[in-house]
Amino acid sequence: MDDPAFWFRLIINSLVEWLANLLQYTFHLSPSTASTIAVGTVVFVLPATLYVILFKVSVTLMAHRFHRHALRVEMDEDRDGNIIIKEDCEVCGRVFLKGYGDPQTIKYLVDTANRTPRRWVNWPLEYSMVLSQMATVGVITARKPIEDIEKVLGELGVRLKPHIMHGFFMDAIRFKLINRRWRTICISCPRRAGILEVRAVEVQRGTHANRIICILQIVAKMKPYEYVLDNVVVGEDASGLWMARPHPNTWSEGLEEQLRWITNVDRGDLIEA
Amino acid sequence: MAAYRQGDVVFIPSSLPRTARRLEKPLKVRGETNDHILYGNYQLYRHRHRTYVVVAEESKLEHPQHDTISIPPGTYLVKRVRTYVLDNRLARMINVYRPLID
Repeated sequence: MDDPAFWFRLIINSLVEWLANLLQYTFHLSPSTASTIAVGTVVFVLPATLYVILFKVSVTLMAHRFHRHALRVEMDEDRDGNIIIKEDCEVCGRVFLKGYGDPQTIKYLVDTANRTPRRWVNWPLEYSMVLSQMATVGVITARKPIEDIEKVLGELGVRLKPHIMHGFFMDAIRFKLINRRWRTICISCPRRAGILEVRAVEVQRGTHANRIICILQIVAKMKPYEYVLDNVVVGEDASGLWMARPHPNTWSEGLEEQLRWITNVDRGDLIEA
Repeated sequence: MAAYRQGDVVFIPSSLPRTARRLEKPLKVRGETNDHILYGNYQLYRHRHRTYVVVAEESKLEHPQHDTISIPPGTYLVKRVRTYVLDNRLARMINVYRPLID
């Protein structure tokens, strides 16, 4: 009577007998068929069901006591084409983040990308590349274009030629500025014509010993927000066309500040030729 | 004192380090197509891979493609304009955002 196996066999036999009787009288089966089905159910189906139920319950209740959330970041679009970013846990369904791709959200994703494993769902490659670029240069909101890019390029005497570079994990696009001497100066960024735009955000004429000097920016559009991926200062002086890229910290600043970084001197005290 | 820029060469007013090494040669900074050459009475110094020039009398910085600049007497650090290299940094970050296809 103290043997646990005795009680186990008793319970299993009672269960099989009860189920066989139920099947026999409910579905009008023969006693042998009903007992075979009952044995199969009790031995195979019930343990499997119990295992699944217990597993799910334990995972739901206990998983995050021992493991981190399984984060999933999903991109979606609303009716106006605005990009909505949602981050939740795949196991417990808790939502951590939901909203447009505003600078705080993008900065959070970029800053935690190295130390937080995530599954990027419905996340086009181009936007991943935009994030990688922003991880290197920072999250900088874009300015509105001040002049038509074609007009500015025409004044500089260059034409903009997109050149796609195929990498191992990524494709990059380089906008080459080609002038008469076939000298190329490149601004590179991830590939995707649809979400990228080259802008002239500041133009000055007849200053700094340059006939024309301007800031060109490559902007990624994550509606309703726009971010700067690359920023170069292009000018034409007596020696011809030149280009320099200031530090990303100065990309949201004006031309004077960017030139100050490039020349590493205070512009007010600079004499140029 | 003012700083002077001719093309991609910048003369920044500076003080001469005590341990700077004196060089007996003229200042010739290599440009993209031609050299920037300083003519006049001056002395060149080198310290920790930096070039200093002590101008005794007003000197002329010349380059075929630029206007000549007069450099007044003083001590200058000779530097080039700088540019931020972006491509190498971008390449390092690619794997982090490698997307999964669902």
